[in-house]
Amino acid sequence: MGYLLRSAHKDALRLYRDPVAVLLWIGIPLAIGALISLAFGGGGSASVPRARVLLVDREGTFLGGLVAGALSNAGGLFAVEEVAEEEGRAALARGEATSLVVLPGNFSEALLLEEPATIEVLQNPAQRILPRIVEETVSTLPDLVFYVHRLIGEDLRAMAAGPDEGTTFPDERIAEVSVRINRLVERLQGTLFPPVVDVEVVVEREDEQDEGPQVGFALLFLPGILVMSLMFVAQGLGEDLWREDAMTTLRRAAVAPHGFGAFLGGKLLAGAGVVLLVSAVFLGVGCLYLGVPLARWPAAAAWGGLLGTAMIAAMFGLQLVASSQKAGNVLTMMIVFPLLMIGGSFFPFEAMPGWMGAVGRLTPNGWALEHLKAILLGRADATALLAPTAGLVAAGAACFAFSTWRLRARYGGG
Amino acid sequence: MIEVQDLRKTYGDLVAVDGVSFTAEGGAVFGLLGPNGAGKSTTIGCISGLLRPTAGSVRVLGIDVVGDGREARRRLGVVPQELALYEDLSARENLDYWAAAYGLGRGDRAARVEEVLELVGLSDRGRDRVKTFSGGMKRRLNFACGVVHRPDVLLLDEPTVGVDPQSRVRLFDLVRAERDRGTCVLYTTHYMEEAESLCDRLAIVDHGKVIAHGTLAELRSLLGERDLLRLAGAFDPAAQRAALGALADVEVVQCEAEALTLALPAASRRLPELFEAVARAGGDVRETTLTQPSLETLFIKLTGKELRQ
Repeated sequence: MGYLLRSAHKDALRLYRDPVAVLLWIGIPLAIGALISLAFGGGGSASVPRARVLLVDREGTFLGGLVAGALSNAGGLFAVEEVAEEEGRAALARGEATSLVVLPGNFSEALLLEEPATIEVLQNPAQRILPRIVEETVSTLPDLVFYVHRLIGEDLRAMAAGPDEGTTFPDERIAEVSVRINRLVERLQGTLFPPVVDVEVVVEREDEQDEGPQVGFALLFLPGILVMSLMFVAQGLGEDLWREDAMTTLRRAAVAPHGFGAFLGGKLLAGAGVVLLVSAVFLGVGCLYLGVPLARWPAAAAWGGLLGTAMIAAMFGLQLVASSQKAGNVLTMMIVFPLLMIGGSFFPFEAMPGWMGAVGRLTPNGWALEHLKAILLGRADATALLAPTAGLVAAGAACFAFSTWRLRARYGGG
Repeated sequence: MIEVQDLRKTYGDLVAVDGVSFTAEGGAVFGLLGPNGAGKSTTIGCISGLLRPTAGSVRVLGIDVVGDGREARRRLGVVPQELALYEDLSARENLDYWAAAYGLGRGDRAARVEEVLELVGLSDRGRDRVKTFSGGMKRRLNFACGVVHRPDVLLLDEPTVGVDPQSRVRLFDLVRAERDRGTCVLYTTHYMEEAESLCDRLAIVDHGKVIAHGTLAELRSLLGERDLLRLAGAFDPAAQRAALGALADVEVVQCEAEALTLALPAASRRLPELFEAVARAGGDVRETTLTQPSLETLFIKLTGKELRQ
């Protein structure tokens, strides 16, 4: 026992003194996760970005206000502010707005008489997507004007021409135009605002979920990233056997009386500490950020630690099957990456085609990932985890026994 | 004490060790001398339990290394040819780890580590990581890791390969200190001068076999105080063998078309006579080397080749 602990201490010290390797094992999955998360539109709690659109109405009529209102209601994408031209240009120059829309002085006349006019749209060059959306939205305005004129152009032109000099529009005339416009809108309502598809959305929620977080993409992705990280840590620690081989320390250990059991056991113990720490930190931060109740954190971290330890034992075995470090790397890569791909680490099962998700859940890492997810979402209690835990411990122990046997067969002694 | 009896180790058709037998006593340095590939490291491997002998027996302090390997290994210390150290750990951490690996208790270890650091002259560098050490310092630490648990039997497998002369002298002192402590030291080397200055008893091995063994004096006596005279040039082997064989006290060790090796007493005084005989047999001498009796000359006499060939 003394040597086992001393051996673990030795390997822990070596890992502590080579932090770059450990950071890489954790950092690479995080980077991959961040990239995939970005590609899929970010985490569950992310809000939709809004464009700040500054509107300058050189004419200052109610039609400018109509344009502002129309933009504000365009899917909630724009936050429209009417500003003075100089102020708007300065704000855009400072990069404080997405676009500056300038309505010309003849805007009413152009709108009512269907005459040419230029609407200026100035864009913030630091932004790429939102200014384009503003531009596209504003560019639909001429089309809108065209169709309105086809429908009530005559009335608009009459209104634009104004009443006879020295008079006002008689009430009958105003009422007539209003009635015509109302009837037109009523007639078109069924076409323009059709309830074409009535989608009934029913959200089925289990009772337990009421206490838990909303299952966003980030929460579905977090366990997968952790499993990827654990696999990389396990792969790196497995490779350490080759470093010991190169340093000849493995040969010296072979002629020591304690033998390889305690030697490899110490390595596994040090590795278990690392994977437990990684799981605890990873899941701790994840729980805090994604709103998972902290009460689930210890069980999830323990499951992660156990899974990582079993993975290390498996990686020892794989490295010891290989004839050289290079062959060992190729072998583990050939196993690790397909497993990560299909086992829910690169893409959550929920985002996979049904058949692929079903296959992925059958892989060892996919199986473990589902249990981890269940713990985080509060769908697994202690009794339900007993059998999987026993299975994981048995698998790890079998891999460890195989690795020790391979080590003895290869290096003799011990 | 190490007792090796009819040790044989084969790898398929390759015979690495072929019936080697010797006994090494405590308080003495026993040398295994031979060229590279002679089977020295394989013999060490079998004694340390790293390799399982194909046949024969090896006993360490009366314990069979195959039957009770764990107990035998507890009494053994091994200093491998390659450096077997953790470069990321300090000298003290390395020693502490290997002491634990050899079963030294925690209470014992701290004092013993300091003692060994002092012994190998690394007390002031104990906290430094091994990767900052010079080659000679690493060699000394490598030695220290092999003796930190106070072994009764110490196996040193060519510990001075690639070591500078100063560190080599230091290592010799350390080996002698272990011997004086009563340790049975088995030392393999292919350097004659090392064997001559360090070993109390020797076995000369070649092609996996012991070709001579005994104390230094006993081995020298095999030469009969004869010098070794080596001639290079162009020779007719049959004619030379006949001409030189007729001379009194001249032993033809090697006779080839381009080289002649002769063993004879007081060779320097008989050079004119020898050159005349060689010339009469049609020989043409271009180079002459005269060597006083030594292990080197003995090895040449026994195998017909130089040790470093």
